[in-house]
Amino acid sequence: MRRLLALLLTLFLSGLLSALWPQGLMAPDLFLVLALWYAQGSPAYLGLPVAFLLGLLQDLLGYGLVGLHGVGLLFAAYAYYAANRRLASGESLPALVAFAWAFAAKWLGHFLVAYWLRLEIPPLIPLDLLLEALFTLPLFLLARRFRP
Amino acid sequence: MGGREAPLILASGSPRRKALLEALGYPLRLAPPEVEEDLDLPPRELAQALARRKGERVEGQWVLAADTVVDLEGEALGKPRDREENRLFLRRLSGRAHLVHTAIYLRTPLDLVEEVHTASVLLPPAKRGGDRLVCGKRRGAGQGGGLRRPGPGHGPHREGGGRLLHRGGPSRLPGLRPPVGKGVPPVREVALRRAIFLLLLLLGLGLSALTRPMAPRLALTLSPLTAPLPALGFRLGQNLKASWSALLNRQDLYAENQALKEKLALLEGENRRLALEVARLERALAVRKTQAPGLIAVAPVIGEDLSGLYRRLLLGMGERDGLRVGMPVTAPQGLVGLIVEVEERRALVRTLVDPESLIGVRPEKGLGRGIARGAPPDRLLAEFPPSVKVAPGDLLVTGAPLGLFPDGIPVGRVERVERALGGLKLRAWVRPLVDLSLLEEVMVLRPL
Repeated sequence: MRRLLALLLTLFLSGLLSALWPQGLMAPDLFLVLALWYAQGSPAYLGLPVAFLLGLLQDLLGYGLVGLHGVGLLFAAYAYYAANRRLASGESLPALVAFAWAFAAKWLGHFLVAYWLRLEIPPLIPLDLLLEALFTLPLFLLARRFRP
Repeated sequence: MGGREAPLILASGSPRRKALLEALGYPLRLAPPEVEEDLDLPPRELAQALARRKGERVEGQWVLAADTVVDLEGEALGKPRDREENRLFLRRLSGRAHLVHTAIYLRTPLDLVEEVHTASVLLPPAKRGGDRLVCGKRRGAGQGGGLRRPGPGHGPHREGGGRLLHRGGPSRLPGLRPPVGKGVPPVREVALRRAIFLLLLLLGLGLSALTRPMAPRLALTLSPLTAPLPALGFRLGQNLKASWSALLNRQDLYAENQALKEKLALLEGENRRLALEVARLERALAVRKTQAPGLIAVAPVIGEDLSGLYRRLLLGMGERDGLRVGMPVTAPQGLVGLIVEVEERRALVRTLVDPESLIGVRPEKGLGRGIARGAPPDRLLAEFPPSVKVAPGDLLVTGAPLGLFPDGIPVGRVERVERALGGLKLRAWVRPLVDLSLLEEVMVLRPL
């Protein structure tokens, strides 16, 4: 039930943010937060498919290429599991490292799909990535406080 | 543990134990206790005692603690003090079978379970295997891991060491099994995760390639299913934005209204000033028309001599403004006096009621001339020949016997008339038309 509510809340907030967020500024990735939150309390054989499906949903909502965010969130969840295996849980610094690792993996997934489809890869602007990570991180830390 | 509401408290700081339990889907809370490990017991009993001690240190309904001890021919290998001792232990274990005792302590609201599982492990003699172990120990050393207690993920029977055993064959020895028996073994878990990841990756890449030609259409077709909730949020966001914008605009209007009010106040002040100016100019024009064409200036009255001896006014204009001694001063009501002193920016006026004032006057509607002297504080005393007909209420105007004032300027009204010097003169008390105490500005005329 909590997970369903979290999904509905994410959908609602994504619409709200798209209306309120300033144009041209990288917005927080709520679906990444949701996928990591779900992965945090679930085994990998559930967390990975859920992350993939959330990515597909994100693709559909964005009227974009189906699979782009799916692969991105799949990478993110996989990296998050890998980081959690190696880091002590319940502490802030490992959580930050795990988030950074997952965030980087998400973008790696995006670029992999772009490369796979021979899309024109947009220029990587570090400031944009940094801003997106900075905006997403507080939501991730907030979500960690609530167990799925 | 189905139906349990309180989380399972893991009395251990080991991330490996945590990962194993989380992989099973148990909600966890970590509470690593601080325990002394200086017990002098055989290895198996030592593991059990340490697990129990950890579990008992932590409060809660569901508490799970564990401890693992390496047993080399009955000797519990302690935590290495440094890298050199670590290598020494590894050399001792290298190529030899040893036992790993893993004790668990599980306390539930209804039960207390304590078990010790023993695995037989054989490390390969190769040096590289030893190096790997050293690396594994480094990772766990900060969390209480050691060779004596190679907890989950730290010891030779775990991921790194387990592989070595598997390759070397002795893992098939009877009795060798994972110390926490019923969960998903880590190697299998990792393999499962990788398999799922690869499968989903292939699915994602395939989907992206297949649906690429119909990317927007597919999303549009499915939008009735996916879009309502985000659309609701979007609409709410737009409304919030519009409300905020309206609020800001209202604040703008308020500020604009304030600015307009200030501007209006300024304009009203200016209007009043201009109205006064117009009135002043109208008065000046009236004076010019009725009294004298030679108007020099309209001067403000800035002071008055109220000593009682003299009745004089101080004007706010002087020599710089063209004022000179001897210039007549009037007001729209009538004559005021004569300038008797001039400074650069000020001028002194001797008024018609000053005791030193002498004005040639005549009745407005009759013949004859007389002289009016000032009779402070507010009267004039005019003397006429007895042949002049003067009655109370008559208006006296200036004549020109002394050549100081233009002819015909109203001076005052006769209040009473009396005979003087045995009937040789008529003496008339006159009230000036100008109220000197109310004058704000006067007109200065060209002297005759």
